[in-house]
Amino acid sequence: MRAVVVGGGLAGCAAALELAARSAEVALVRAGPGATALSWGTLDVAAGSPLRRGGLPLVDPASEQPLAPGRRLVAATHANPAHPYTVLMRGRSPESEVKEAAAALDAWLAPAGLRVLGSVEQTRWLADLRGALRAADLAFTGAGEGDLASAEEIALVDVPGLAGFDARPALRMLAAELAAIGLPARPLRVVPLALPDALAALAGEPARLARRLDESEARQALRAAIERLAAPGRLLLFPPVLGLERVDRVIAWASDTAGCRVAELVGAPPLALAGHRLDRALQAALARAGVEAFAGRVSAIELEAGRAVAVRIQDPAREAGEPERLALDALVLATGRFVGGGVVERDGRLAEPLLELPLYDLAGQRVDGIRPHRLVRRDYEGEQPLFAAGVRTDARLRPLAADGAPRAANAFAAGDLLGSFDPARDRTGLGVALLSGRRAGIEAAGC
Amino acid sequence: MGRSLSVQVLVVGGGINGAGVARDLALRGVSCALVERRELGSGTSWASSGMIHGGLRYLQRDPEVTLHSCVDSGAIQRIAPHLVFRIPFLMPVFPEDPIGPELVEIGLEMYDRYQPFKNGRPHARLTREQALRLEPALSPRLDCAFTLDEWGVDAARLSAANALDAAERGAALATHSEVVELLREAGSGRVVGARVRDLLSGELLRIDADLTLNATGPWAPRLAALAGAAVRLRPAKGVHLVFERRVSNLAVYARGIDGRDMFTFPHEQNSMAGTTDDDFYGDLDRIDVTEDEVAYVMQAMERSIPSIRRHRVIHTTQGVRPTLYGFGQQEDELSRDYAVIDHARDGAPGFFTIAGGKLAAYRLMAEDACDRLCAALGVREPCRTASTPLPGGDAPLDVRALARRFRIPLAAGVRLGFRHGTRAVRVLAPCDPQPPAGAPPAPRAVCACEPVLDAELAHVARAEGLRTLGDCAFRVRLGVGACQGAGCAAQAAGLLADVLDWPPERSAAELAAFAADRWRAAAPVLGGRHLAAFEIHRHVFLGARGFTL
Repeated sequence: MRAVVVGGGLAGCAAALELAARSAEVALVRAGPGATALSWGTLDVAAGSPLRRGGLPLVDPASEQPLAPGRRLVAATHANPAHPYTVLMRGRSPESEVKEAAAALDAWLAPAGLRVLGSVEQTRWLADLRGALRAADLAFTGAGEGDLASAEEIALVDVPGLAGFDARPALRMLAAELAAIGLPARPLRVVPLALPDALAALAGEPARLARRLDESEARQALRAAIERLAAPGRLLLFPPVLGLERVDRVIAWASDTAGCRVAELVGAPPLALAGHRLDRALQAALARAGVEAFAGRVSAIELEAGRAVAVRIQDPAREAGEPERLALDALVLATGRFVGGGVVERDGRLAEPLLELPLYDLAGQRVDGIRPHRLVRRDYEGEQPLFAAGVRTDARLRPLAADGAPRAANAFAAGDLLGSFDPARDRTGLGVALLSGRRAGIEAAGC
Repeated sequence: MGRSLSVQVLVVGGGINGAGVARDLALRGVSCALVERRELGSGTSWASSGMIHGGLRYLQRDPEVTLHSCVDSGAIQRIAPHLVFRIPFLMPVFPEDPIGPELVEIGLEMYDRYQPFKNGRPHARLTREQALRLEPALSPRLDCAFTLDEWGVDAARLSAANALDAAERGAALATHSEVVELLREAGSGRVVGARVRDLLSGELLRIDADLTLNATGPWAPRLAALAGAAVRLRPAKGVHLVFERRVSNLAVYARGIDGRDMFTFPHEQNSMAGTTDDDFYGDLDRIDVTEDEVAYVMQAMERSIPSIRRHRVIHTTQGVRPTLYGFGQQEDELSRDYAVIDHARDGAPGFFTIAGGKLAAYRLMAEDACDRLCAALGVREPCRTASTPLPGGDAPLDVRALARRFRIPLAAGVRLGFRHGTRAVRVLAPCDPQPPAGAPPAPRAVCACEPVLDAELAHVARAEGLRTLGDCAFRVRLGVGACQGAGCAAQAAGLLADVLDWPPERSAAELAAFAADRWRAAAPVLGGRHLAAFEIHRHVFLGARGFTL
């Protein structure tokens, strides 16, 4: 049984890894790093949104207690019956679905040093680079160690000259945020980290600084400066530059050196290396699982008698040549939305370019063939039909054609390509990618 | 009760005209207050083509306008050399064009006579091959092409420079402040000042003034109505498309389907294309760009530069020209002349309006208006604005030395020097690396597109009276590049909060307002690769929201 997965973000990788686990021969085609590589350190399954309008509820209106992540997920499916979670959770327990998915992801990433930290039973409060709070229940090694609730004292580490981060404004914001959610007051401070000259020169380029910190001699040079940050009960929150490849080692070292807890702040573009780490760890997992990787863009999908039978790949390095053809028994489309290229503007109109699938917005309206700017609304933070555009599927995640029947009996869709949800507003982005990617892989393995 | 102040002249409107008048008055020793409802130069000035040109197209109907604009363009180059950049134009002639090369050349020969006033070079006629070598993106269908010389300027920054110079010379400056009432003298009906509301703090300010000047551009009729006076304009909407980067080396003429001249031209770090010119009857505070306008401009550009659609349009600018009233003419044919109106004729002595005109002649218009105001005040001081440099325009700046001294990238130094001239040294002074021991870190770029350094943000907040995050788009062009603020606005909000002591909920509100501003500017042209940029934009801005708002 041969399966082809199109798209190499979290959704595509999850599908490929589930397929490989079921003894399928799997090929994964990816054009390049996508939206997953731009993510910032949390696995937002149902992170909730504090936006006053829209978003998922964070607090149970009856008890006024924070809603546990699993309950929020249920709320999400109730709030929007077309949400991918509604399809995924039908007849299942959201908590156990998420638990199982998080465990699977953790197992895939662990050999590369990334763990999935947190649980679906309890809300964890993490701080981001600007000092804003996130109700991120699951987070990766790096930000994941930064649960604020259990810290006796919180210290933001100021790295002088570091591009993209200012500790003082972040501290002011964090103090207000903690007060706003009613966490008990605790000391908050900024502690300056004196970088040795060799590292200070890299402060303007955080990714290079992070890469140097992967090297033990660079860490040795930093030892004295880290030791000075030590204090009992303190949680040291660093900007997200603690290693490019092995954040686990850098954090363990810094924690040992300082003798207190160490974590990263949740990143935000342009300082978001966590997405890169996640991307690298996923690629490594694919290689370990024997998934064959193809670099390039799928230019066409061949259909025969209602089944997908092959994809053709345009290798960007060989523009002139004949596209490579991969025959297949099952197909998973995890091509993303606009960043990934799963939904594009073609001749001025929205389209799904590979199978010409119809696209739907939050309200279930068809939006393919429509000019993008006609799908924008004046209120930036309100519902934007354009940014909920994606395909619709049956219960097995097979994308539907305009007549409501699956486009192909053996084609499945996952991730941001799925429509009728707006991940920026409801913060279910990587959660949908993980849960739908796994399900698509499991379904495809049955073909 | 609120605060109050007393001045000789109250100037309402902080666009280029109002700011130019305030500076002129300040240089003549006349006390004045300048009140702007939003940010300096954020209205029509921002939406202009940013060119101080003579206007080849006005030569036929309005040679006076061409002359004034050319002479004054020369003056602006003298007083603000840092804010001005040369824009050589290419005018391709196509086989089907109604006016052949010979006739075009006659027009350009006439225009050449005006070039010396604005330090421009005479035109040149290029063969098809020469033109294509100079600008490979040109349509190869052309017969030949001509060059002509024009100048660009950062109009919002020029407005700010005028207003800030006025303030340094004693003028009171209030941005984000709206006139809610004109004060009248009982009996005579004389306008004796205004009551002004600070739109951010809600505070009321009473300004007593001997004279009040309405320099609110297209809003002039609205303010005049507060005094029961009439200003008759024929407001005309103008739209520009702004590209991610330079799409051509030179500015290139293009022709709309209706025969109108338009062009695409390098502007600051980008290229712009436009402009439209249509009667406007809508709400001045909500000027929307339509699908038709975007299509009309792109169609025109495509004829000169066939590959234009491959380039990414990142936002639009839209504004309304305060064109003087005329009936029965095409919008394009309306005079670009200006008028200074004494509303004594409407029973509102002490109240004046300045309207119409071109960006290039702002200084001359201000001079004329100030002559009138000074005559009414009995002030005999002459105008000095043609020879007194604007802040930072007093001497050339060695950008390379600046970049070396303060350890900043040359590209950042160039842009800093462009905006601040010799004042760039003052901007960076808090980061002076001397003495070397314990040197503070080098300034960092917050906005990578422009770039804008953290030191510049701190400077405009501390020394230039900047009041909102949104102001930064106009004052230093923060967040108006390809990412539309996704990469810089949150950090900038934090830095401003630190300097201006904003509580966190204020920073969050500023950030939300900034995102909404960029959204309104980008939504009309959302498509292609820009969709991906805004997918990220939404994740960043919605994700940046914490719990304090």
